[in-house]
Order: sequence, then structure tokens, then C-alpha cells
Amino acid sequence: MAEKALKPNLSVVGKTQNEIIEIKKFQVWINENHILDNIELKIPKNEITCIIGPSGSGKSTLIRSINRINDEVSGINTQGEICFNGLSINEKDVDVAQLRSKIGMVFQKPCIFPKSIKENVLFGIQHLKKLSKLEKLQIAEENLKAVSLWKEVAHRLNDKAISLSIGQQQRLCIARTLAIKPEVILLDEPTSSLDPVSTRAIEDMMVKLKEEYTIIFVTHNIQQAKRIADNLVFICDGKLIEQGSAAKILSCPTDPQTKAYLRDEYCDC
Amino acid sequence: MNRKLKNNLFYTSVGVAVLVCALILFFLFGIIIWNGLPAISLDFLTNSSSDFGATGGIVYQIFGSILLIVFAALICLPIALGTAIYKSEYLKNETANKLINTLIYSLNGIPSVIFGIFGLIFFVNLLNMGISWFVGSIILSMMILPTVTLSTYQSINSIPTVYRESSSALGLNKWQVIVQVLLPQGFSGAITGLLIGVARAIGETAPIMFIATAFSGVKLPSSFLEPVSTLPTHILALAQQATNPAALQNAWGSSLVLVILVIIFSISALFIRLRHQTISKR
Amino acid sequence: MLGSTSKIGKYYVYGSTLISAFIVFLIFTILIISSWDAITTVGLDLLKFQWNPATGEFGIIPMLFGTLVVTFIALLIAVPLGIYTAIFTSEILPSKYRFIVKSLLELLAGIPSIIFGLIGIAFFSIWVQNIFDLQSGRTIFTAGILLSIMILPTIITLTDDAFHNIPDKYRETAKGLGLYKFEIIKEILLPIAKPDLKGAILLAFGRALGETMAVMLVIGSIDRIPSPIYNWLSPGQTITSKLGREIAETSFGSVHFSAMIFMGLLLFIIVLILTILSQNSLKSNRRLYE
Repeated sequence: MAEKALKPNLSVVGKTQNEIIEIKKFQVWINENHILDNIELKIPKNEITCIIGPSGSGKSTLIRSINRINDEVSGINTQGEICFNGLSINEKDVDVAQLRSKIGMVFQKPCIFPKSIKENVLFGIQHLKKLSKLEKLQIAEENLKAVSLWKEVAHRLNDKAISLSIGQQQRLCIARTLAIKPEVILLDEPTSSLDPVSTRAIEDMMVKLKEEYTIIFVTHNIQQAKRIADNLVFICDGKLIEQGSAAKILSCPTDPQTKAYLRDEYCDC
Repeated sequence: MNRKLKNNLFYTSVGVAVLVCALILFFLFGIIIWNGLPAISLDFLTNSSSDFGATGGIVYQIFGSILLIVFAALICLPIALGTAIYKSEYLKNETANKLINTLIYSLNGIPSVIFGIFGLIFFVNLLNMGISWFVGSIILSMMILPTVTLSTYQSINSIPTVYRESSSALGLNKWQVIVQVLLPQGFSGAITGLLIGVARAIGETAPIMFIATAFSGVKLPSSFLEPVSTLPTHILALAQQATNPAALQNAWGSSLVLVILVIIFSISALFIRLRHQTISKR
Repeated sequence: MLGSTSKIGKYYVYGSTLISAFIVFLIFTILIISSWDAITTVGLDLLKFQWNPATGEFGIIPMLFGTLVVTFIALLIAVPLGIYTAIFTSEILPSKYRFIVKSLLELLAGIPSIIFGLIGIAFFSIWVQNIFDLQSGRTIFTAGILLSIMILPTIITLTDDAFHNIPDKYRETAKGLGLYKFEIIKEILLPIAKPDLKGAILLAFGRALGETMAVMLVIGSIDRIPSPIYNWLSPGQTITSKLGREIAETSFGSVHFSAMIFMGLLLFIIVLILTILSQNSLKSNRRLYE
């Protein structure tokens, strides 16, 4: 096969055991605008890494680069590389569809396909493998339980998913991503359009999910980051200002910009 | 891997379809230009035709075509403007609005040959106007009416309500608001619509061939009730003598001239639309 | 003074609207009145297979058959070709080239039908004649091919719009789930765009039925159903080509004339229904999704 299999390569496994994703000298331009400047970042396995920063700082662009969903944005230009399990994802011969089934993504606003609840959960997975009727039901149940939606929708799996509330829709979106069994889940401000109760439900879920998945969570809400993050990455104006364990950064940030931002003050960046 | 294969197969079929379409496009424009250019000369554009069009030029055909569409535009404009204003400013009833929309779209969908036979029955025979270019203009104005009306309506309707309310607050009555605030904007929509409509109307053959044109021996009309000769009907007459190479050559020449006229109108419409868009964005 | 201009203005817009609305009714009424003679005197014999004014036979079936077959061939070619091409222009081609593609399509759509007729006579009919070794290349098949090219821009441009109007979030979400492009198109975009595609096809259907000049020049103009019925490489006749060829030579007021108008009426009604259906499906989409 010409394309590279996105599996850990034995020779590099030892080195990257704890870092599932490594971003090296990564730069992004969209048209003339320098969106991301020289990002160096390592994301550890089975932990929640929160990316924080003011809006327009490039958080979304960064997270969207990790599964190459930015590829088709018009006028985009990238430099540097991102490694997943020790292999570069920026090579031309990487099968992006396969990559994205390993690195799942949940977006800011829930996007429900005009199909039933069950079909929505199964939407990704049924393309990856053939499923029997029984397996389909099992997968739907398992993943809807994982996002604690099962009780609410068990009796109406065949209803149109659009009838769910926004909070339920977003949880359905997460269930849909879990169903494809990715190694990494990218979440781009998934709670910004939700009410506090749904937000809490999703946060609690994240903490449970990190046993099995590596989670990268973009948010502009510092309180939220405090509640769930193991690691924090602070990005401002396209530059990576500070990264490290959440406990350390939240208690004593070294960079003055981070300090200002965390104190909810004007941040000159 | 099966999925990947399917994906590639899909890309291939899309590629083939695009290739076919591109070839068709280049073929059509290629032969129109390739065959048309050698026929065109100053003499061709400024002389009258002779020998049933096989020799000579097409000056009266160009004149006839322009005459028809200019009058079609003049007849169409006031009616389209009025209808658009009514639809945008007076009509509040949802059902009536739907009905008018349906009627406008229906008018737009009527096949051109039906307009032709309608004109033949109603104007030429019932009203006894005979075969005349003015009847042709009336029929063409009916054909472009929906395009012009909708284009005008869209530009009037896109004016924010604030404008209407603030001018009313200054003491202008409804008609003054329409004339001073809405019409200037609506007019550019009307012109765009007219250019698009005229670009279509100038190439139409079926609606005018029974009612407005004669195939040969026609010069300048001296009244409203005389036939003219037009480019499309001239091409039709020449196409039917396709075995005569000289006639065919002139048919290609006339076709190129006609296509160029269509393109001029379409491009002007495009420019007005673009300029207008940038203004309303600001 | 002010009040009176306002009143005149009001009369003016009411009058214009009345005229606009009145035209469709006027055409419909005129067609019914003119074909009434044929409906009453010929009656059900209009649905026969023979058209011969000299013996008083006015069967319109051959023309109806020709119209439907020509349109069928045109749609059979243009629909898949158009949809695949629109998928390219909206989903694969970077959007900065969209303006160019749209302009080219506009140009293609702007070529007058008489010029298509000329191209049909000068090239297509000769090709068909040589490839299939026929006496004459002016056949139902030739007309269908020519017509398919003529409705292609309509289908491409409307399908392209339909795809383009689907919000990007559907594509991104599906991509985020690891789907290939063809899966996204097949399972997400096509179902969402379906009402619009239906509208586009119905509209193209209506255009194809009503197309006159190009068809008239290449179809061969013989009023009979080919034998055997599937031999589309033989000359035929459509309602429009019949009207275009004969109406001017038919004396006004005769049964012959009236029977011709009856065909026009039939075409008018079919196209009207298609137009209204297509308008409904083009609009319904917007209400369903955002």
C-alpha cells in the first residue's frame, strides 16, 4: 500500500509513549494573515489538554489543524508538521479520512444530520465496518449511555434527531464521535452555546472519558478549564505563550500575559 | 480499502463529466468563433443582404433586432416597475403574494413558441395588426416581464425598512417615499433585469417568426405596422439553405454577431449587478 | 395636490400588476378559444395516430410521442452529466474559481437556440448520419442530443446553487467522523439538496419540452411514430417543431389551425404544471433546513 498506516511505529514508540500528538514549528497563514506562529506543543495521552486564549487568537485554527479539517479553507497555507503517534500527518499521501476516524472532532454548535437519533449515532461507524442489526443497537446503546443520553432517548431512537434540545444534540454529537472509537477527541468550544446544566454534564463526561481517550478541549472559559484540565495551553495572538500542567499554570503562571488573562484583565496581545 | 477505491472511482466519474462539459463548451464557442470570424468584415456589417441572404451583409438584420428589443424594453419597463412596487410596498396578503409569484413564474415558464402562436392569433389576426415589428416588441416585452419584475422587486425589497420609516417620519406620504427613496434603488434592479431579459430576447426566434419578421427584401420600416428582418430569423432562413456554402458562411457570421450582442448585454448586466452589490454592502 | 399624485401612483401600480397577472390568463383563454373548434369537431379523434389535414385526420399522438422521447433522451444525458459537473464546481473546485465557472455557464446558457439549430444541422446531424450510416442524420436521437446540451447549463447552475447553499458545518462534521468525500456527498449533501435537485430537473424538463428552433431544424419533421417504436434513429416530430413548421402556412380559423393550437394548449398546460411544481420544490428546501 502506498499510503502510510497510521499506527504506532515500533521504533519510535518508546520515545512517544506519553505524547500522542507532537506539534513542531507549526505555522498557518490564511491569505495575508499570520494566524499561528511557530507552535511547539506536545499533547500527553489519556489526559485532558485545554487550549485557552482570547477569541480570535488561533485556538480553533490550531485544533482544526490536528485532523486537517482546515485543508479546504480557501487561501490557507501551513508550514511545520504535526505528528500523531510519531508519524507526520502533513504528508501528501496520508489518507485524511482514515486520519479523521482516529482523531474525532466535536464542533462549537451541534450539527445534527437530518436523520433519526439512531442513524446519527451510527453515522460514522457504519462506514468503517459492516454492522449487523444487533450490533447497531448495541453500539447506539453503549455510546448513548456513555454520554448519559440513553435514558432520555431510549424509547424514541427512530425519531428525528432535530427534535432534541441543543444540549441533547451536542451530547448526541459526542456519542457519534465516540462510536467511531477514535484515539483522540478534539472539542472546539463544545459548550459555548449550551446552558449551565448541559455544560456541567459534558464536563463530567470528559473527566470520565479520559480513561480511554486523549481529549483536546478548546475553551475561552477559564473556570471551565480549571474544572477539567490536566494540562493547559495558553495561546494569544497566534503565539503559544505558556504550556504545562493545569495546576501549575493556574496557581503560578510564569508569563505576565498569562497572568493578566487568568485574572480576567486586559491582555495586551 | 474498498471505500477508498469507491472514492477514487467517484472522483474519476466526476472528472469524466467535467471533461465532457468542458469539451462541449470549447466545441460550441470554438466553432461559433472559428466559422464566424472569416465571414465578418466591415462590408458584412454595413451592407444589406441580397440573394436571399447568401450574399451581402446584415445591417438591416442588426437594425431590426435592436429595434425589436429596444421597444420591448420600453414597453416592459413601466409595467415591471409598477408590479414590483405593488408587490413590495402594497401587497401584504400572503395568499395574494403567492398567487402573483405563481403567475410571474408561470409567465416565465411559457415556451417561446406559445408566445408566437398567441401573438399570431391575438394581435395579427384578432386585432388585425398584420405582421409588424411592433407586435414582435409587445410579445418580447411579455417574455421578459417576469425577469425584469423580479429583479426590480428584489432590489426594492432589499432596502431596509428603516429608510421607509425614517422618511415617513419626515412627513413624506407613501408615494413620495416610493418615488424619492425606493425608486432610485429599484431602478438599478430594473436595468439589470432589462439587460438580462434583452440578452435573452434578442436571440429568440420562435416568438417573432410568425408575427414580426419577413425573411428577405426588408429595409427600414416606415411605420409601426411593417415587418422587419432580424438576426435570428435571418440565421433560420440561411440554415434552411445549408447546402449552399455561401449561405452557410453568412449564417455563421450572423451567429457570431448575435452571440457578441448577447454577451455585451449579459456582461453589462453583470457589471451593474456587481457594482450595485458593493454599494449595498458598504 | 399631494394626495392626487399619490392616488395616480396607486392606480399606476395597481394597473401594472393587473396587466402582469392578466397576461397568463389572456394567453390561456386565447389558446382555449382557438382550439375549441378542434375539441368539438374532432374530439377524441385528436388522440389518434394519423395526422393528415387533407383527409381530415388530426391525431396528435406522433407529435406527443416525439416530444416526450426527445425530452427523455435529453434528460437521460444531461441530468447525470450536469449533477456530476455541479459536484465538481461546488465541492471540489476552490471557491475562488466559482465566479469564472458561473460566468461560463451563463455564456453557454445565453447562446440562442437558433444557433444550436445551426450547429445541429452543420455538425450533429452529419455525425449521426455517418456514425450510424443513415440516409439522413435528422432524427429524434439527434434532436435529443442537441437538446441535452441546451439544458445542461440550467441543470449545472441550479444544482451547483443547491449544493452551495448547504451550510459547511454538515461537511465538516461528516469529515470529522472520518468519511470520504463521496460518502459525504452521497449520504449528507444529496439528501439535503434533493428538493432543489428535483426543482432543477423539473425546470429543465419544462425548458426541454418547450424548446423549438433547434429541435425543429434537426428532427426531420415527419409526423409518425417510428417503427419499431424504439427506433429513435429515424425522423420524427415534436409539438414545438410542428407548430414552428406549419402554423404560418395554416389558414386562420380552419379546423387544421385549431388542431395545431390544441397541441400548443396541451404543451402550455404541461409546462405550466412543471413550472409550478418546480417552484414549489425549489422553495420548500429553505424552510426545512435553516
